[in-house]
Amino acid sequence: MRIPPPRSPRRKPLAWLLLVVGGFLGAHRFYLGSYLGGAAQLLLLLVGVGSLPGARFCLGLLGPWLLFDIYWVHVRLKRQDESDAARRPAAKTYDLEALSHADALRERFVAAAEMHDWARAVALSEQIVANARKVFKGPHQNLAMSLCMHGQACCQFKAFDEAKASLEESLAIGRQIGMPAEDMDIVRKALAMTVAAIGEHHAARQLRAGLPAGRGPGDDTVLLGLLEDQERRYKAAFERRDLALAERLCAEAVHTSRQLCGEGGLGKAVVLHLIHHAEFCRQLQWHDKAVSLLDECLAIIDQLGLDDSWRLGPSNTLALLHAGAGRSDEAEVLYKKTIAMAVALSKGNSTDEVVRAFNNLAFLYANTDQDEKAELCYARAMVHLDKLAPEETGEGDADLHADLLINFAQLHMARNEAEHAKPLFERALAIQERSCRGISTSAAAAHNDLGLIAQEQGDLREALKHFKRTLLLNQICAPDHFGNLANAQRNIDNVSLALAAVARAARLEPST
Amino acid sequence: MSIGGAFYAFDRYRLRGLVIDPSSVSGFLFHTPEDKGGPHASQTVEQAWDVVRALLPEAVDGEALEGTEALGCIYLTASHVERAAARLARRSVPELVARFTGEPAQFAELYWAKTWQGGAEELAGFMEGVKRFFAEAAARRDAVVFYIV
Repeated sequence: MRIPPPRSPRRKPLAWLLLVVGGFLGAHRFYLGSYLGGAAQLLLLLVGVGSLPGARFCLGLLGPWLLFDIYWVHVRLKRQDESDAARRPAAKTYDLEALSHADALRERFVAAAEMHDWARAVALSEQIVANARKVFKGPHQNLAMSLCMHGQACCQFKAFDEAKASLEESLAIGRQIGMPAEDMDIVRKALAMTVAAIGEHHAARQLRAGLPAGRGPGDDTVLLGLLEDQERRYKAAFERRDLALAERLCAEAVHTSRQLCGEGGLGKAVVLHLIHHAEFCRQLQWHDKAVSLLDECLAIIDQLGLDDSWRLGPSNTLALLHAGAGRSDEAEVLYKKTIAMAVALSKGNSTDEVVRAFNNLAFLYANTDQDEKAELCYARAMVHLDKLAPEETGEGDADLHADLLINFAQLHMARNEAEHAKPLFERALAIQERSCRGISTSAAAAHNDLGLIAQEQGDLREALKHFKRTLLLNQICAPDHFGNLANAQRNIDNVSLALAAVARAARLEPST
Repeated sequence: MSIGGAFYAFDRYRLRGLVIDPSSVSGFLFHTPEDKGGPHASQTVEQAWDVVRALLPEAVDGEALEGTEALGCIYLTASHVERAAARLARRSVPELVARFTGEPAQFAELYWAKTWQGGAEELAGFMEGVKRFFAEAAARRDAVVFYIV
């Protein structure tokens, strides 16, 4: 359909002036767009002033016609007013209060974005968009730019679906209302960045899940999402020490990863989840099942031709199973293999894997009353630990480092060498303090032993301090380990009783 | 602007993360929905936080947490919550409120003391709410945070 171009409005006073001054020439009709009428009036005038027959008749016709045109001009101008009113957009009466609220929200959004508090920024931009929809009730530049802000915040918050939807809507509104080119560029760039981020995120997800690269974002998205959800849930269940649930969810994750890895169900993702599944089974004391899972895991590693770094985890767990079942010889062989693998992988350097391998073997020796061998292995682990990046940098596996120090210290404790144990416990606590503000079960164990040392040395106040810290840390980190909580409480009660007895004795025998 | 306080109950295994990173407390309390592991329940005490703290010390018998965005923050582990709930169950709110309104001079230093002496009924409502809140949190073995802003 062809849309006629709008006519320029005619000025009312000029139309009336032309009727009065040049009406007999038809000027007012020409001015108001009635060209035929104007020409007819001009013709009547020309014929009327000439000496042609019927001149009088023409003039006689023109007179009443001009009188009639008073009414005609009035009607014509009135119609023009009505049509102008219909064409002119309705006057916008915006809710000023809502607009000022939007400004305040925008300021808070900018502050949140500057602080990289994207959760807050998303929440605020959602309100801004809702506000803009309410105020403008339709496509508007303000709404488009609010959607753009929301999209950018969502992108930073990794809520990619919402980011993309918002930016696409912003772009659509921009096109509809003819938004300035520079604003359109901003929206287009934000959308391009979001699409790129979605691609990167998808690639990272696949890498994290141990899936083969090269699948498009549309492939297996549902299964990948399901696998991530299952992984998150089994890890959360494990953290809650709900081992039965963790095992069940992990078994589901193994199944999902097999589906994702396609034919034969062989892939790194399967290996990763099998390792966790075996670990949960081990902790549930389902040793046979754990062993069969680990055997399968090692077989897949062989089939896929993965390097030794993949064998370290399952070999360790298998060794733990042997050690737990009293097959210390088999465990020792496996631990020695893991040491060899770790050393080979590190190419002679010190790494966390090497430290872990020595620590595990040392722990086995310590638990089988081979203290000298244990001490030797711990000493080797300590040499590697000292060669790692300084602990102050916070690099490496802080839990592993603290566990090694605590294990070694406990070996000294078992041999009544408190003077050797104490600095190791204190170093472990310093590591834990840096990595997690000392809020861990390892730190609880270190405080407990330091409390015992202080108690033995007669420093009851220091002992009480350590035992109280042990109790609090266990309450925070392992709230369902009632045995540990009861032990810590018993230590506190014993030391408190001893302190009360000392205070009572001091009152009974005042110093002279 | 006045200062208000509220109790929040949440999964006991979430507490460790909050104690390690106190700056995350406000985000967790106010922007984490329950289905994403956010708080299970809350009980506001509004501007009566100081009065409630003085009359029901068991409810705040936990550990102070520094480094949050709050004016004051105290956390209670699941063990603390169980103990607090047992002690709170033995307290009589009408008696406490009667003592608070009957001896105004003794509590004059508390924040908005006069206001709550005039609005004892609302105060009693808050305190009963706190008792109920702790009983429910203890049944779930939740941890609790008392947050003053």
